[in-house]
Amino acid sequence: MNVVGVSAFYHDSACAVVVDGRLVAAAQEERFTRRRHDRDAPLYAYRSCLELAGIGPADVDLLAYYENPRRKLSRQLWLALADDADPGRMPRLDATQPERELRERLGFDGPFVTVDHHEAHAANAFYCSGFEEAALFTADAVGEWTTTSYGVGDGDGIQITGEVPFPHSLGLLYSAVTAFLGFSVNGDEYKVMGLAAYGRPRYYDRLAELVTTGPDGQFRLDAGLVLPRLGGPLYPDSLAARLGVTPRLPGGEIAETHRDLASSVQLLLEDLLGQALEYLHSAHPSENLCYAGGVALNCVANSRLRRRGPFRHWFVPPAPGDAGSAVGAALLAHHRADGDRHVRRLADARLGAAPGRGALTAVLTEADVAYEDYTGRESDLLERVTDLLVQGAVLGWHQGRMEFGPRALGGRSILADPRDPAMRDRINQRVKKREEFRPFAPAVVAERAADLFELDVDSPFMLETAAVRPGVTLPAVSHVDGSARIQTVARDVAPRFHALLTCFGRRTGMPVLLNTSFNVAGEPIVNDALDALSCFVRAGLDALVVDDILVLRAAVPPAWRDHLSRAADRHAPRVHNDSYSFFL
Amino acid sequence: MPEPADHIRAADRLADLLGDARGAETVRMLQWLRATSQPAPVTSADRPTPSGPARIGVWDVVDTGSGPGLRRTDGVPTAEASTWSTVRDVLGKGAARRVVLLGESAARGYLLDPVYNPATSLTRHLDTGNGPDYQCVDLARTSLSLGQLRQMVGDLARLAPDVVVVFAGNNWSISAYEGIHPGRSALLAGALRAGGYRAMRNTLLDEVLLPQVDALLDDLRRLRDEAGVQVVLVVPEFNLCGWSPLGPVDAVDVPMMPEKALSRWYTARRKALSALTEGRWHDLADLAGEMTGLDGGLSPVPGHLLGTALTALGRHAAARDAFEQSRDSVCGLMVKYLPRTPRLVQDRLVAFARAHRLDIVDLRAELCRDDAPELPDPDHFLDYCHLSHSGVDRAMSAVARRITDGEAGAPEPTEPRATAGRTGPGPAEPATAGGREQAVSLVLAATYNAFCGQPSAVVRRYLDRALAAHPPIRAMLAALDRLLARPGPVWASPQLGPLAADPNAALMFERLSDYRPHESRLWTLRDCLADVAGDSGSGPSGGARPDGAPARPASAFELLDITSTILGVGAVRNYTPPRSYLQANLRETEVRLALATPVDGVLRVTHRHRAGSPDPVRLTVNGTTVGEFTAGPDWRVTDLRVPAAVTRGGANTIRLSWPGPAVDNATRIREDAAALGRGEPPYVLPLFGELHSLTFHPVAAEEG
Repeated sequence: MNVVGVSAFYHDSACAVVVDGRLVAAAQEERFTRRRHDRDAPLYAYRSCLELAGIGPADVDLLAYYENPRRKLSRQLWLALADDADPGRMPRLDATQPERELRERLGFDGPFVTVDHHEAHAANAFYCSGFEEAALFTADAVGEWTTTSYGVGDGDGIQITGEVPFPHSLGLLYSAVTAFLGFSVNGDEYKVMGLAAYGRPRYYDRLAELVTTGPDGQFRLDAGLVLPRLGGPLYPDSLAARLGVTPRLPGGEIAETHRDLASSVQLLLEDLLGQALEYLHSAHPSENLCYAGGVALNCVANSRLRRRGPFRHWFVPPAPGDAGSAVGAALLAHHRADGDRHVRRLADARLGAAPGRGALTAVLTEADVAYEDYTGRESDLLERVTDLLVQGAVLGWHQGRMEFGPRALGGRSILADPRDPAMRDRINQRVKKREEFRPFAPAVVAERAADLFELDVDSPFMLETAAVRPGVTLPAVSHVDGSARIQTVARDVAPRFHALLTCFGRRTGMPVLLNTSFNVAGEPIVNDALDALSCFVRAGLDALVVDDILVLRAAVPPAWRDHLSRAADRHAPRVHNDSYSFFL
Repeated sequence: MPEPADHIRAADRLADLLGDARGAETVRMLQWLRATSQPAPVTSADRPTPSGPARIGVWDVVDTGSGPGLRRTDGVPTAEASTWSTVRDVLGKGAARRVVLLGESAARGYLLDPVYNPATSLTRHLDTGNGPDYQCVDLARTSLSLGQLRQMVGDLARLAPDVVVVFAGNNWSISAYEGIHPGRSALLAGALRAGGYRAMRNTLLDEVLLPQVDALLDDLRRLRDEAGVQVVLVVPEFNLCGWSPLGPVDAVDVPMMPEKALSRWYTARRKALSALTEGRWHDLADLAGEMTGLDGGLSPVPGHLLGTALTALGRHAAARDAFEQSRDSVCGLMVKYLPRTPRLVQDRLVAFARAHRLDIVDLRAELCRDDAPELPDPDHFLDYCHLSHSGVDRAMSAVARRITDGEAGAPEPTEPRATAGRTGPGPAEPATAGGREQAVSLVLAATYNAFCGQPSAVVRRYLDRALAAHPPIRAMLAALDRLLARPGPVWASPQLGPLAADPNAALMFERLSDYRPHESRLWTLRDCLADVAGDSGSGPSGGARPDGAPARPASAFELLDITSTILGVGAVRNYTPPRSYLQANLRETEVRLALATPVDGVLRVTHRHRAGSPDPVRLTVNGTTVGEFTAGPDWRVTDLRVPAAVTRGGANTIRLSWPGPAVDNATRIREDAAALGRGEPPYVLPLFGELHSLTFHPVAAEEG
């Protein structure tokens, strides 16, 4: 049985294909269209996933959509009426649109089912966890009416047993402060997480006064904290007075008060999540927790809460946000339709296409650009790449299938030496062109992770943070608080990436590399080899490795940089978003 | 904030009541009525007002000491800034007469700018050395909409112009599609239900477009009356004889009609094309008439064929009417077409100018053929509406005359019909562009025309003109040939440097920077280049190494360009959103296959025909039928063996001939009316079949 899961029409649209209960392909539309967080129907992703699954459109038995449009309409209508909204600014309210549009635009005439949004989140975590049974927890901004859900999963499937209704939302809470701090809602929350380590939580009490917790995992946000409405900032004007902090303008200087507010909201989030998980464990006393939703991308909170208990074993999928809901919808729909469930832990997030190097070598040859071909000589390639890394090179690493989810995990990565104290600033300023406070992450061979970091679990999807052990010096990937967001790399999952880390470790004693996503600010992670070439040139990387091909920056024709620089000027600038976009 | 428990239940019930298609339309109507029942602030787009911020387009109005001037606004995103004239700062006019040029891409001199454009031409023609000094201010913007133009006109008084030249109209009938609110879409839906696509089109033109045009004209009259500004209206002309609606791809043949009529229409079309090829002009005219009788004048094809026939028969006035009918047929139909000014807008401009004594320059008269003044001369154009060097020169010469005439008192507007001919030479000698300058613009024209899906005869004509104007341009053609034949994005090609050496060429090719031409649909241009610049050795039709294709393809490859077309995935030439598969809106679907040498293979077709026609789909390779198959309402996969003998090294042409339409006329109209009711665009076109995939599998790879 072939099931296609789709998330679309809000943000991060994606497609996934499940064949006989096995997840065989998943991809985000933004990687193909090059529009970050693309919300349109996942047309390219659909074609790519079918091709990866080796099936055609006639072979799709079921299409599962990641939310219930009618329940969403309910919330939209309530919000529009409660907010006395300007109808001229409201989007079209049409519960029939997702099915009609997906059928037409994907060319699908077969059975179409919808899965409630938080069911899709929960299913994404549970069916990929490998747990026979587990407690289920989801938290995001909102899906239909739900912002937080509690449930249980077992051989019979998943069951949502409790919910917190909109507008009382941990995601909205964090997003409101994100907007207050001058960052973009629905995309920059991770910047607040990174900034938090630089501050002290001295606004914690004032923030906490605006949240009331209740029994059964319930909580309420004060209207003075979050102002869910159709337009305008997500927080009320009065919040500044309540907190005693002036909102930061986008692009403005980050003051101590802003760092402290970030620290405060991070701590408050962790405490609220902790209380929610205590409740969940009391209701469903399992050792296993499956956790998804946009809030689950807060890896700092995840690690602290996991260590705190009460759940011993956690699983957070590689794409815990809305893109991953395509996976959840497909797996849940399959289980419900087929009755069969495969208990298998997802170990590899590289679920996308592997476009190959063919077009790249043709372009290089045509332009007389020198490159090194290591086909059939992997060890030579790895030694050469290690040479470059040790010499301080920052290189683009494009290998095999594309990752699914927001993290680059060795398929589409920028790699560098984590021991170099200047490397972080160099990459932030020159390559990624992003804020200086944002940390980079290390990838480490799984078998040495515990030696170098205070990490007691595998972290294949870079969703765990842990302290760098005393005596280990990795300044480029150590955050200000001495922590790092770690990816553990297993030999049997990513053999070439593991071999590179091992090679680097042999040379330096440190089988660790700085690993950040292969893109520049405002763009999605690269997809095919030509995207990688373009990014390599524009970012001024020192080298590019695509499969067995190595290109050095010195070989790049100056005209390429000039052309791409002029072309980049023509791209529309990224639009800052501090508005309440959860209406859609 | 209310406790939501009860509200959630109530909202759930409301959503149940409004959760179907009828509910969606109900909510939309309520939204619109609520929004439009409240007094709304008057925007400058609705009514010109001089009280807004001191900005015109991307310029700030500044006091220079010698009157108001302009300073280009900093911080405008490059993507937006590049659509405007490149003018930076404009000094105060002092004692000079200030002439402001407003308009669209034709006014910017698309494909010529910044080397040459209407503003530079107008300056040259006004600079006679005898009369007063003139200061020409170029404020033209590519893709200027009717609303934007009104806003500029409203803001213009603060710049104290003496003359305003409005060279616009080509975008207006497309602008009318924008902002179709529920009140209007209900109107259109009602017209569609009552009278089909013709009624929908007429309603859109008469009740949406023309009132907007009238509002602009009122704005201009007010500018003249209240600010004493001389207004010169330029009536755009279309390349009636040099633009073809018969392209093999990306064309609109005909909107949906009853199946039998559609079948007869395509039969007549096939016969008409034979008549065209054989020069049987009377037969062609008869067949075109039969087609028009069937399509009700909504297809661009028969008018073009009839115009061609009548031109050949020397009946130029009648030919013009036929070509105009072809040009105008798609306006208001809510399908995609390239800019043009329909007759009803041209006539509106002329009538208004006469009634209100505004000055007018009618390009129908200025750009006509010397030997057939009823028809425009294709040499004055670079595509459908953008003018060549000679076209710009003639147009601006006439504008200059009108301006200088206007100083002596307002003359009667010129006779608008083309039969009036030109009114004589301008005050300055016509500017003559250098041979290379002309040739470069013609190479750009060939590229752009190919990009727009024009047939090879049209594309080839521009290349031939380029070579005639400047034979050394062959080197540029060879570079272009190599650019298109090799894999990778434009920015990575070594050919980009030589191709972008001229400023106007740089604008085109650098804008295409991320484009990957080897995956594209520019086959027609490649064919033509192979013919005229075949010495590059890379042309697909005759070259030795086509398209970067391996000598023997090792594995299967996709032939559909769904994932590469710049128009978007599976683009249909209407305003419906793209799809993940190709929809055939023409009776034949043409696809190209590049091979280095003849090779055995298998074509694997993943297809669908929603009505499940019992008639087969026929597939040919280079004109030889290699198989037929029946397409059903579900996706199916069919493999067809392709013998090496029917293939050739270079570009191979694969054609699928579809049976009758997959959606009947009544259903199409019902669904389109419903779509309009939802605020979505109608489909309008016939749907013959669908392709998810078309892959070529070399037999060696299959067996290996």
